[in-house]
Amino acid sequence: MSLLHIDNLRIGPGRAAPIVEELTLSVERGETVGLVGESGCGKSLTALSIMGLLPENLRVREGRIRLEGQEIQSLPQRRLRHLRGEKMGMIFQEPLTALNPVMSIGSQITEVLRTHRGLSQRAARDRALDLLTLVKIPDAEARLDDYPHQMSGGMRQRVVIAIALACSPSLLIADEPTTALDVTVQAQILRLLKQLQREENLGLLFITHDLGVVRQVADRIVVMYAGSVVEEGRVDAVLDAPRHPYTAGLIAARPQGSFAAGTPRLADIAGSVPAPDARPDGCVFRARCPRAHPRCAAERPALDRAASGRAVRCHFPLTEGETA
Amino acid sequence: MSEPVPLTGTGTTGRGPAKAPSRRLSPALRYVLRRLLQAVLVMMLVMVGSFLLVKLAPGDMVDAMAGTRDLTADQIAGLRERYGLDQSVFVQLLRYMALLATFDFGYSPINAAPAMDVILARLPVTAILVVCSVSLSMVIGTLFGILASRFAGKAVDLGISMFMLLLYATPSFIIAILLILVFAVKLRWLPIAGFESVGMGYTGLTYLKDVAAHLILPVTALCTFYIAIYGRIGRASMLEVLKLDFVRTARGKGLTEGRVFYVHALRNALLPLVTMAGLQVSSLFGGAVLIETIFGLPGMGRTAFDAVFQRDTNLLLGVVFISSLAVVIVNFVIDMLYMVLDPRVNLK
Amino acid sequence: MRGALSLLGRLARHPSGLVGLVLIVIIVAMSALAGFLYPDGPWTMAGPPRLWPGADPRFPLGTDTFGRDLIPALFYGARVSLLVGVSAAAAALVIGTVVGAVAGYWGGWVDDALMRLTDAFQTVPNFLLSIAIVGIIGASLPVITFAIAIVAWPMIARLVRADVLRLRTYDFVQSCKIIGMSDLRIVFQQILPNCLAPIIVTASVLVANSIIVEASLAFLGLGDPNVMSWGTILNIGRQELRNGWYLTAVPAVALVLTVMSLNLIGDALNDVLNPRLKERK
Repeated sequence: MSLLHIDNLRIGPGRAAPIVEELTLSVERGETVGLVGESGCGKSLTALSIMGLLPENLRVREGRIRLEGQEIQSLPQRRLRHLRGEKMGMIFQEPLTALNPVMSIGSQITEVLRTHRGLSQRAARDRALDLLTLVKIPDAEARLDDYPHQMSGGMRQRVVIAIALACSPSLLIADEPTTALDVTVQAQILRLLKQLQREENLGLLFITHDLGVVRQVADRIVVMYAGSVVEEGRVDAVLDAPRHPYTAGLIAARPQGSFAAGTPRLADIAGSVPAPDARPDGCVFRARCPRAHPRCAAERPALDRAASGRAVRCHFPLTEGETA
Repeated sequence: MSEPVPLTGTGTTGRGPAKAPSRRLSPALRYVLRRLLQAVLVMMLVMVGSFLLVKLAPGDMVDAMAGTRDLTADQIAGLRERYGLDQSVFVQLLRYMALLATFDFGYSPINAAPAMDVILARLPVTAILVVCSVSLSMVIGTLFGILASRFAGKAVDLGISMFMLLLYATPSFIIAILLILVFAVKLRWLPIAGFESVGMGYTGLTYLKDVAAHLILPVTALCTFYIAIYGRIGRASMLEVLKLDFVRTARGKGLTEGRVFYVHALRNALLPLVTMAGLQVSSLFGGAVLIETIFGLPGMGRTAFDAVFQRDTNLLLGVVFISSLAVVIVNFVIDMLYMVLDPRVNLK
Repeated sequence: MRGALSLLGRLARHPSGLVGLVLIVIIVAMSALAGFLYPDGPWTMAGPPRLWPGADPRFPLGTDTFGRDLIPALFYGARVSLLVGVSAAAAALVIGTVVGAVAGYWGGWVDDALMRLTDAFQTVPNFLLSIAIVGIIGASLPVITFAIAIVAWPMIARLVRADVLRLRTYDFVQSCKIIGMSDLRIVFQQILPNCLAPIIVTASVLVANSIIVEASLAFLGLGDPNVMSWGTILNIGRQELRNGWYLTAVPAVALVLTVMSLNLIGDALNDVLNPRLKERK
């Protein structure tokens, strides 16, 4: 039984075109899955749907989300609330605005513990102190009574991590947790996350658009394009030998060029991600695909799973060593 | 009087980058001192304005100050010396400011007493009106705002918004007349005017009840406009705060919706409402002129009204000065309160 | 001009904007037609005094204590309300914009001094100051307009200052400086046009508020004795409250509807001009 299993998920507003569709992915205990894609491809919405925090106009229309075997996509907020913070925690992109400006750091940590664990003020404060030490905030004792504006972005993100980990959840979702930070701070936070993930045996769903970051932290990678998964597999396998033309394009578009040696080319993928209501029939990537073929317009490719855990959604996937 | 108020945009969202905590010279103390200095400067400007008004009055300062009294030549000479009328305008201004600073507003001919004594006697009624109106309108208005934001886009919200629109568009004196017509003239539930029932010799609790009955209508009339203001700002502010990232974090922690709404969001959404209170107090001192006149209440507003019609400039400007001073003090208190409510304030 | 027309068009498509526009067009028409329909003016004693609305078909809204027809009074009152409301708001707009722009653009001690002045005007109870000015100088339309404008500008000044402070750091302002454009031209040609939206929204609120203050002054007996204002009728009506509350109700409804129409237009303008709010829908 997977820690998190999402099966054929479809998210969208009432009648209009879905934003996420046919999304299937799973996260095991102690595993880090990197969810990658351009902005607007639906990766953040996927995260929010797991937490049950979708904006009011969007809803899970189809499919299942299972956490430790329990279906949660149809749970009422009342029940879901007990899972948030307790079984699953989330870290957001903007550490500068993710904390309440008029509450002290300490009280923002202790309230999670008091809500889910029913700890006394004293006990919660002791645990908060441990947590701040855990996320390596220096002089933790003095920091408990600080307010967010007194801390730097990196420190605030550590606090957010401490909050997410307060009740020792089994699943941690991190939505671009380092994007808003300086490069050096970014590296520290990544290292911290990786270390905590190993120590606490967390399942970590790491959402990013940065392939370099994925390579650093993730065991497996799931590439999303225009609302669905286009490729999935072990990080090294996918990044070294992408099979979907989109993945190949993403890798080629990195400033450093391909991860695979000997392809010194900086390319971009022509065009842009189509809006949910403008997605073409057949393969959604075909308009931007160098390998598009009439069949791609006629027939939407299925996600083709191999025994190795590698999956690709393409009629004409790349073979080993080929570039898009 | 109704102070126009921008109803969108609250001060809670934008803020500067984080700074390392600086604990050199207590920033809180510096903040307090700066606010104090600003308050003094504002009062000095009020004095200058008051002086300009006296100068603007037809006739010279002594005519204005003397009002309708017939003065002997001696008295006039005394007044001329007192205000330094034989000297430069600047010296006159300084003398005038010095007098105001010691609460010496001169003599009130219509009351045959020093203007300050008259004002002090009338201050309590207005103070009661203002305090009751501020607290009531703030509580009721905020509750409406919270309710509307909680049910944003639903029928409850629409109903409240329409009601607020009506309250917002109806001047307080019209509300006052309407209330008198309905509750005093037609239904006869409440007294039509005055501060207490004259000649009844009430004491203790009965007296308090009697006064309260007299105050219900005037306080309500003073409240309505600001109920609408607090309601509208409260709603807009809540909706804006609810969109912020930290609300999502709070939900992500698994807090109850009630805690997210009433603790996390509300505390932030209240900040712009607190700043409104200063403007409200200022506008209530103006509104008191109308309301106290309509309800025949012996307060400062009624005093100002009488002073205008009897050309008692000393008394009129004294009321202006004391009201402004009250507003300055209230604003200072609010600034201090704000420092407690919003930890970021020291940075400004 | 075309911008103004298209704005009007967008307002008309906004539900509360449309209601506000229709109401305000009626009020404007009333004031424009007052002299044409009732050339005798509002003061003529046309019929029996204290006639209730509907009692005599010649006077659908009744007559006041002196037998004056309430309809012309209402029409001429609309004229006074609009005249004072618009001119006081315009004056406040000019003062506020200049003060705000100067304070925001030049900053430093100029800013400090102007902001303390603004503070002072926001501290003195506005209506009290208006009463004092009218009481001391004397009641006439220009003085009343002045007394309203002089207390109304601080809000505009704060608004403009905040916007100018924000805009002056923008690249386009910096490039104007580099090409040697004068400060005055930068402020009036480059910066101010960019902060028009909040000024326009606030202007409608200012007009509404000025109309209320004018009516309040006239209600207290501090109106210009030579013009018939809605406040004048309210003042007469107050003494007749027990037996003739229609004398209060008629001008009160006119006043509330006018103020409400301006507020509705303000709300609609806010929605139409503020792109940040649009995305909420």
